Amino acid sequence: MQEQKDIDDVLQLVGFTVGEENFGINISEVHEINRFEQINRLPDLPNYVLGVIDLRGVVIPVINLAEKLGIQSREVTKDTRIIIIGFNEEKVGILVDSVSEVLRVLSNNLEKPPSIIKNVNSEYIRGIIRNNNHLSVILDIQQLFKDYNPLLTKENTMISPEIKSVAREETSDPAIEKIVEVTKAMADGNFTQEIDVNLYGQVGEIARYINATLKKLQSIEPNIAQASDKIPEASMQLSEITKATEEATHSIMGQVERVLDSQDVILHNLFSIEKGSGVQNSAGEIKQIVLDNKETLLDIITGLSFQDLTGQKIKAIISLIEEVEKRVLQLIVTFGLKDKAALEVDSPLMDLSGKSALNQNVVDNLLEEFGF
Amino acid sequence: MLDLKLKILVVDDFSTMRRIVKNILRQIGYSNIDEAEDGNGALSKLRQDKYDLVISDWNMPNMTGLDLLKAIRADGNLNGIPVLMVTAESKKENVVEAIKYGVNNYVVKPFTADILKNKIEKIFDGKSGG
Repeated sequence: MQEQKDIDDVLQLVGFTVGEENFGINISEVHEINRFEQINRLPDLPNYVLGVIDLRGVVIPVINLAEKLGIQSREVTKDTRIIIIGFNEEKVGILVDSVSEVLRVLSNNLEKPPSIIKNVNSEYIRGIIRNNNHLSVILDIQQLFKDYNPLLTKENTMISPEIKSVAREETSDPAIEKIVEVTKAMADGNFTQEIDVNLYGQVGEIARYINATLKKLQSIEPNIAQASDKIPEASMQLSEITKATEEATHSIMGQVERVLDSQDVILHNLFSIEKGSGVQNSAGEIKQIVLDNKETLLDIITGLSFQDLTGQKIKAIISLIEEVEKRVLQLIVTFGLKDKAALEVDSPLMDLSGKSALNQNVVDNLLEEFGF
Repeated sequence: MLDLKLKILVVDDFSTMRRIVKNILRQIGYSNIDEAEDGNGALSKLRQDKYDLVISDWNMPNMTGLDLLKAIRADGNLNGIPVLMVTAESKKENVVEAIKYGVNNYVVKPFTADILKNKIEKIFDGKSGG
């Protein structure tokens, strides 16, 4: 009864790697996942704080998770990501070597960490899950940074105080023309351009917003393409299943109908025997029918093997759907988790288990109430 | 007593389900059975020929069983034909809606031959008894 596990027990985790290790954090702590960008170093920071980035006009500190966990990180590559997490009502970026996937695991499958774990201080660890052939360590972000004292206070997190002093006239500016051009390209589905952001004032801010949006769009494009590629395959498989089950059901029903019809012939012969007329003939006919029926009944049992074939196809479809779901979840993560409710698993559209459906008795009682 | 000469129209979009219902009806003793794939097909058959009972599924493309029920009740020539819903739609609001539009009885899938027989008897007992 594996499928009847409570939905509440499903943990959704963002899986990522640092060095050679796999980690996961609860998806509800993740605001967004960004590609690596220039980190500005600031003086006098603890060694695990790499510096700050400019996230759409807000300065966000970036933590070197490898340093914090005491493991060897890799060089910055195209897979390097900065995961933006919520921490004490502020945002903090953590640098990871890659974001691998969104994992859905049953919380029962979360294993307790062994008391001594190499390299990682175990108080940060919520548990360990086995995923395919590797182990992922699930981190408790709040614990991990409990000693972290934000160096940046609210007052100085707004970008560029110089903006106000350098405000200038922004009429027909080549920068605005560039912004219009890139925005138009975006509307046409071209996300590859970028705006030169050496701009100040509100125009600069708009340019930064557009660039940030472009970056996100660039990262979701392959996701959408890969997810939508799977859909026709799944619906084709489903059509095949419907056809196969229909054919199999008809073939089995045909056989059952033959057996049912033969009952009438048996009955007819039994009546003859009862009356004592043509006993030998009737017995012979009945014998033949019983032999035929045995064969037909065996054919029915063999025919039922269609369940195995359709079952396998359905399993393949379920894994396709899970793949699509994962990619959609990645999109949600990319766009930030404004609405946590949207991530929660909805109840199935159609309850085939019959749990919420009324049975005939309940329907009959209802009919009775209406005078049936 | 069941009148086994009744002409029955079985409406379901699944050919297998139509065959199951027909087989059960045959076992009960009915032999005058016709079938339609959806509400539209059923309506055109009902308007061409005289039927004594409609047994309809709820969820069908083009025209659902509920819409078929509404159409039958709205048609002066057809509104006396009893309609038995045989459906997986067994939520309370569905049952109440079907009752509101004048369903004669309601069978929840999956069902047995006994249930179907019992419901048909009830429909015609009710008609002759009052």
